Amino acid sequence: MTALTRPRGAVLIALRALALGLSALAGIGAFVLFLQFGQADGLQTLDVVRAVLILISTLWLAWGAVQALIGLSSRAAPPDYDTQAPIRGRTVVLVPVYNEDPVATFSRVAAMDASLAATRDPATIHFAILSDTRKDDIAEREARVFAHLVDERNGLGRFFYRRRINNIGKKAGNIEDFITRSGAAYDYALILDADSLMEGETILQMIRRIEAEPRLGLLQTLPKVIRGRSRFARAMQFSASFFSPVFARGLAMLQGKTGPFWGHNAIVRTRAFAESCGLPALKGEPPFGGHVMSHDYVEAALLARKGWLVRLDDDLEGSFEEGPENIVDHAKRDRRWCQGNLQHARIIGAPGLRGWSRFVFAQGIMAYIAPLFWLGFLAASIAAPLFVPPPDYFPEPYWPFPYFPPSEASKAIGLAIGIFGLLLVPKLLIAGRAALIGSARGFGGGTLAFASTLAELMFSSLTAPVLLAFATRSVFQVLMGRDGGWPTNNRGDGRMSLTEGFAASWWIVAIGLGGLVLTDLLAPGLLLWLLPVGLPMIAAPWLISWSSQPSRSRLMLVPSEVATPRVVGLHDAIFTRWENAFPTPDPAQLAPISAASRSPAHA
Amino acid sequence: MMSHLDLPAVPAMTEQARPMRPTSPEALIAGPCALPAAPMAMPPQQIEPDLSLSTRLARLFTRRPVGEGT
Repeated sequence: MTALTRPRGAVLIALRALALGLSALAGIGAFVLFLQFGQADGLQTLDVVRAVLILISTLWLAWGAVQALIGLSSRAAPPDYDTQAPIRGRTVVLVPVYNEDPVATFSRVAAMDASLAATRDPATIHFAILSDTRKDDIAEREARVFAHLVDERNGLGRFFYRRRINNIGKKAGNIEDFITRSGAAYDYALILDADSLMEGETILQMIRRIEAEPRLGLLQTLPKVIRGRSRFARAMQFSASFFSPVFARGLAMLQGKTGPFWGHNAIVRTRAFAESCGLPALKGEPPFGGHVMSHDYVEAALLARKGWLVRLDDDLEGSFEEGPENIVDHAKRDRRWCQGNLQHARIIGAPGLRGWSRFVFAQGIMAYIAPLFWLGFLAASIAAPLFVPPPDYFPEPYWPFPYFPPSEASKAIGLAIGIFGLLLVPKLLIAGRAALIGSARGFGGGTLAFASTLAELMFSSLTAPVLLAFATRSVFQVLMGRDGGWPTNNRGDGRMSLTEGFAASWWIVAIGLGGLVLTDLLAPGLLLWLLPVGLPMIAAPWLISWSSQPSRSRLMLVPSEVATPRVVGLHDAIFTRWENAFPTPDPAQLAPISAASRSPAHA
Repeated sequence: MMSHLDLPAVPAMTEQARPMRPTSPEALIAGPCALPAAPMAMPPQQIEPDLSLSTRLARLFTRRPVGEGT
């Protein structure tokens, strides 16, 4: 392990300063270039506004790119600890559930327990299923499947189940309820989501790591997205497997003592969590008041405030989650995160927080308001020609020859190339390095991984305007204090028809069409520049439907498709068996197993 | 020849006693699979800035630890 793998002290400060400095430099560069471009026909107030908007947007893009570049500079490595040390503490694996299909969820518990049993380690590890299910018929099914789980895994005394009468505080309240009732029985709690899967060996190593470092309050793993079936899900899965580890590496290098918590696939020291993370409801009504929605970021900040270490160990393998199968499900989840992250505006000024925790809150807020800056820039650009005075070819009195202002189009082109570079270069560098160091092997080899990278870039370029439109709507809904309405979608495998796609995105089509017509009328010179944004918006229903269909391509191949991880194979076998024993009564009654992951691929 | 006193062992009587699993799922989750009672305090933390001048002055002069209590 080098000093750069987990920087501390002066190295960490220098690295953070470098990252922020480079991002600021990119933003200022874009600002200056745009001002020079605007000067061509005389600098207007609107030009300055646009330059400020492009500064903020570029700074944000550059911050992401710099994280990846930093991540490329080192390899994930384990901390120093005894990987075979006997485990002394008692651990509970917490599985919060909420209306999900218990066969899918509890079979995961069985798979993880079997994976733990295969290690033959005598550590005390219990499982607690914490049900917040509101529907009685699903709760009744939970009880039956749980009894089956106990029987099959001989789990009396190791498996626990409780259902809350009310679900105050949602998932955070569910965990808090467990801690206040039973927390003293355990030294550590591994917090999962309904769709989490972890290898037994990974769980053991997490316990050894938290036992080896008494100051460690929370240890987060980097979950890999698995079982993507649709084109959209496989693109997300590839991105999470291929690009995210590098972005996470950058994050891990910048984290210092205040790493992230993404709400699941993380272990906490029960005492630290209890003394630091009691979350009161925020004053006032939702969306900004009420219970803290994105509680994980807050809990990480509170642990750090009390002096506990919060660490992302990105070297740990064997940590898995599942993702949404289509754009609409993704947007639904994003709507929840958006509200949660914007709510952090109330918390960012809480007393005693570490500076980096406040910065993380600001980043989370920025992730959702950044599209507004782009939207503002586009709107201002379309409107700008209305405010430009007619060109004055004879600015000097009595001078007989006309003066043609120099074209600054090259500045605009340079700026566009720079912005696209911030989006493309990190991913291309990641593909190049994977080919060089051999890590592309799990992705079908260097050539296929590179082709997958290009395909992912094309896919994300096409879907980005649609996703940004959903994100922008979410921000406006939250700011107006409204909850979003959503069309019916989930039909088990997440497939959506063109009609369903249109029902979900007709407003995006209207905005895209209206924007292009307006541009053609007001600023025809910009039309070509805006087509990459406008056309995908007009094609949104088709994109939503097409990307929700099953993918049969070899592109976007990931290691979990090449060789099924052991715990995933165990789960497949158990789930198939249980599904026959407990046939699903009505799939529409059950919530999709697609929980609130926060892996950087989705950031 | 087997004497009438050498009765064959009855497996059910010679096996060690095993805890019986309750027959119904409801009894199971209300009984042996209910969460263990081991309470732990989880005091609510201060997560919002208190912008009132009196609180700021009090914190300045009393050096009250940050975060605990609302």
